[in-house]
Amino acid sequence: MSGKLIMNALVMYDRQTDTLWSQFLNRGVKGPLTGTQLEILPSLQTTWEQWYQLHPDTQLLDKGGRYNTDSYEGYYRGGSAGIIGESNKDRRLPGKELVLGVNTEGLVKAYPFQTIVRQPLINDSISGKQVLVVFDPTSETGAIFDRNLEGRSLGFDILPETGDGISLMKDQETGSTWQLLTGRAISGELDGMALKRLPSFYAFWFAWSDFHPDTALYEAGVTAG
Amino acid sequence: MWLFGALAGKSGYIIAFLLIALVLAVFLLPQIRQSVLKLRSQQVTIALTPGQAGNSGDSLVSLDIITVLGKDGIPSIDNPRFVGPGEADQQMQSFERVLGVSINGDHRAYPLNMLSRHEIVNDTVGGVPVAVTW
Repeated sequence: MSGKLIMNALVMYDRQTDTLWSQFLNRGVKGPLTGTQLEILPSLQTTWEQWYQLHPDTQLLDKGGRYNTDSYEGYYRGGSAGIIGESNKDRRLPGKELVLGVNTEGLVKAYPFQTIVRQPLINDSISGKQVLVVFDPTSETGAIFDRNLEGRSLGFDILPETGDGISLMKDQETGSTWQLLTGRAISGELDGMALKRLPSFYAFWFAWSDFHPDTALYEAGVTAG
Repeated sequence: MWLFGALAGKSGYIIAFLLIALVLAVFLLPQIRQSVLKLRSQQVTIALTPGQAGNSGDSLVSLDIITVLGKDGIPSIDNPRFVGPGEADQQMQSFERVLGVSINGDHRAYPLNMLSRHEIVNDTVGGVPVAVTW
């Protein structure tokens, strides 16, 4: 951790070359490895309960009897936008509204939590790219997938809750059953298949729009790309 | 009464001036803080992919890097230790948030309470070296 920020977001350094790296831009910004990109690996930001249900064989970073509170609790609830304020005041949403953002092949779009909490499955298209946006309201967990599977475009519908805490969906083409948050088919013709996760970001609107001033913003009921 | 008495005298002007200065300082503090941070910033120009930081083509973008803490002012976790699911469920409340990563069948959860204090965990998941950042 370099002690530096770009537009309120983490700047890291590596101990081998002392290059500065922007977390939000996932690339070197100063030093020998400037311009080098880090690959973004998909992750889920969720509750312990939800993660444990999805992956009963998970390991956990040992808390060692400490870390029972989050030092940023007040910041999450408060109105302040980082340390230096916003670079690009985009009033389409309140600054501290949470969004699920996706940036794939130069296509940038944000899905506000206030919308996806009511619409937890969206078969969307971003400039022609078929994407699936899912959200589990109980654990406030979102993920974005490519809904093209081996050249075939799939459309999805959410399934009623089964009571085991794992949200499910089915595809309209084969009726196979899938886990909503992992994008894995668990029964039916496509059993064992998995949708490709697209790198999605869980961010405050002010930070997302600072880094992506031209971002598209999903509006309820509007799925045209 | 003391304040009115003092204001009537010569030192009253000084006190009144200090009060005005104090009020001004409160209003100006955010701007002063911004300028101080600006002084401690460096500008870099880098090429970004389309869509990033307002870049619509292959053009270069200028960014301010601002110093707010010393290097390693927030210490990363470099030798992470893990517990299995049983012990993990003892350590965690059901509603506590985690960042979960799955690579090559290796599933690992990083409590946000820990990431907020360390910001970076250098780890290897499913054989892949990763930095878990927050």
